[in-house]
Amino acid sequence: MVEVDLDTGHVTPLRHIAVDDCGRVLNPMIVEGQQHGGAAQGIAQALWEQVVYDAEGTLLSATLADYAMPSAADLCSFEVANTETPTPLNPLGVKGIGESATVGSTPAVQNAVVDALSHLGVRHLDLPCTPQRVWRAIRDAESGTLADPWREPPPVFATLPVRGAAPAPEAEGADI
Amino acid sequence: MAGSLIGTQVRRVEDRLRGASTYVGNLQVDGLLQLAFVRSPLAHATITRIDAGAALAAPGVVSVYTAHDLRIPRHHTFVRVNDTCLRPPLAEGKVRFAGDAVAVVVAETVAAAADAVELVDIDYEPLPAVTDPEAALADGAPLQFEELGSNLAAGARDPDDVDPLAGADVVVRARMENQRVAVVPMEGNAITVVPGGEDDEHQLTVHVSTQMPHLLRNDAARLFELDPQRLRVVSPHVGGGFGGKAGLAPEHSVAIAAARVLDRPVSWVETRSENMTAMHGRAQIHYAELGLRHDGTMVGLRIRVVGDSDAYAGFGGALAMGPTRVMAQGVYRVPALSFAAAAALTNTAPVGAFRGAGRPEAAAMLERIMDMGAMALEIDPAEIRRRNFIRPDQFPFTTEVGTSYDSGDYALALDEALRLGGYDELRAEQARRREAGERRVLGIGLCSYVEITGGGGGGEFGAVTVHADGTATARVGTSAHGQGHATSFAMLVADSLGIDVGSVHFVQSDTAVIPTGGGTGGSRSLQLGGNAVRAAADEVLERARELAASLLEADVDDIVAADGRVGVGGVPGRSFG
Repeated sequence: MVEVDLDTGHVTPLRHIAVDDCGRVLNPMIVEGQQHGGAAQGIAQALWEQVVYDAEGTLLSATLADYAMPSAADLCSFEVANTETPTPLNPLGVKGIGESATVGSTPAVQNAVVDALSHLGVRHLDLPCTPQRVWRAIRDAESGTLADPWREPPPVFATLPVRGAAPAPEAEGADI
Repeated sequence: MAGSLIGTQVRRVEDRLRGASTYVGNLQVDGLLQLAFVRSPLAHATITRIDAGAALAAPGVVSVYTAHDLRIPRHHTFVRVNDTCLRPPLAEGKVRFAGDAVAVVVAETVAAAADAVELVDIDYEPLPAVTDPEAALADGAPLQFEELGSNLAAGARDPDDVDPLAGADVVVRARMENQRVAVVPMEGNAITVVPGGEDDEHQLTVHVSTQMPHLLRNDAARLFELDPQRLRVVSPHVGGGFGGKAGLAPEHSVAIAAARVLDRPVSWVETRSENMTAMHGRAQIHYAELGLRHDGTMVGLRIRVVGDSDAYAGFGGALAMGPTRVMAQGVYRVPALSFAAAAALTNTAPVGAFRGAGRPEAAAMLERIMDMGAMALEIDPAEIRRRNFIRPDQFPFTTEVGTSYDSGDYALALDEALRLGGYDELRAEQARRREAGERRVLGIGLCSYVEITGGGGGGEFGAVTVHADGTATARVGTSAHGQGHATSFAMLVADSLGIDVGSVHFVQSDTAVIPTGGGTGGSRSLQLGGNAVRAAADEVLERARELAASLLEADVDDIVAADGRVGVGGVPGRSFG
């Protein structure tokens, strides 16, 4: 849940509830720690962090002063819980938790920001939902000039090899 | 399991402050030399001249090397995407991103190396640059590798014979940016390479901040044509990885080459500024189209993704073709799915993995387009998800792209989150603020997701040894760098053998004492490493019980392990410690 200031576009995370399922839980404290850290990184992607290059290829977000990594003060307290559905695929019945909260948190927060503005007609905002982007969307919505979130994809897709026609790169099976 | 440790909040054994941390930067080695890289300020340029004369004359400088001096074969980091685009660890002829390493200074101190970097004089002839992956794929874009003929590093699409949107009552569409983020581990990259003598067991010992020591050893051995058994890689305390410390980075191969040429130990500890260009993640653009019936059920999805594959076909760009595609269907019943992905070369810093590596991108795309569908049909976002979830009775479930899901109850998790949040009250407060015309409005966002953990499968090394003093040693091929494995894996051993968590020594991340290992990444460690360690502990216990049964002339089924002793259950006198 977020609060959006319609005058400034500033987004404040108010509550964050994560219910993850990593199968059987070995140590709840360590699971909770992974959920907290993952949520912090995922929320950061939703609202703040962004690597930015200029047209010449100079990195503009080259320091931690420019790259808006949050601190605990920027975040709300996290409410984390677990359901336990053991996997039949290993004897302990455990599943991974290291990345889970990162996966779930970014879209939840992005969706919350769009949801906050849905009554104005806003249907999409790109990541990260910075004050500038949010403020522009509010202004465009209030002046009836919201952009269509769709445009046709680049022509490259039509000319790609059909899957299976060429050897797949190793990255298709990357596990990290 | 009465009295079991499993499921209890054991405090982390790693967090005791003893001043005994072993981060690479803390390592003291006699005669250690320091490396500093001379990096390109330009994103794309031809190198016309390199003059290291002034740097070589500076105090404390031992040497300055360029690609021509070290002649390290071009190589990839972690995963190969396109062999035409392998990266020279020091630039050859041209630079392809701002931060590309051109030369390396070797000096007696960090300060001397850093000062001498400023004295290396390099002339560049600027070339047009492209940093936007879509612009890089357009006709006439500046090429990273002329011999490739385009900036397409890799790509694949499904055949056109199925229209996944056919029969939909409503189609929602969006172009979505999943922005490039920096990995930003608390500790940056770091490596210290110590050459051994000809008669030493190890020709080279590499202390390196990595998630996967065995992978780094094997890749380095292959690159330098060394016997992997004579190359020891140790990953000491590591201050976070998040996907950014996997495989042999260019700076690693330069450090190894410099140590070999000089036959002296060398070290490189990355600066924060360098780390900001060392590894980025995400960096995808999604073209997502979702077809729905009026009742909110899904008809099909068409997904087209552009991944940013940086200047040297970094594997991050190709994750779109792998994990993003594999997870494109998420938690839903999607009758038809068409997927295409293109990885584009740009004049930007390396793109690899960041916490989730392609899977969060899929979830973001799918959960966003799902909400757009809910808005178009005026169905509550929780309700449209429920109408499309794979049901518990459908597991094991195989998706349209062939991914097999073992188990799950997505409605259970969503309903629990809504209950904890007080969803109806939140919606009422949102409506109240809107009706009151307040300028601070509420937004409630949902995401239901599933992901692959330990997706590489395979096995993992785990071993448990019991010592005469009643302690045990657990060895494992995973490589914790903050996750708490020393605690978790000790719990598994202690629980099996009936000893204290504090009596379990934990050994990892050293190729000299761990024969094989997949390291830590992809949320794999407990599933693979934890199960391996547990199986080893259980096997040790089984042998102990058989031995005790034989010595005590008892039935093996009556032998139990508790409080550090093995013996007949309930008979204190009949046991061994």
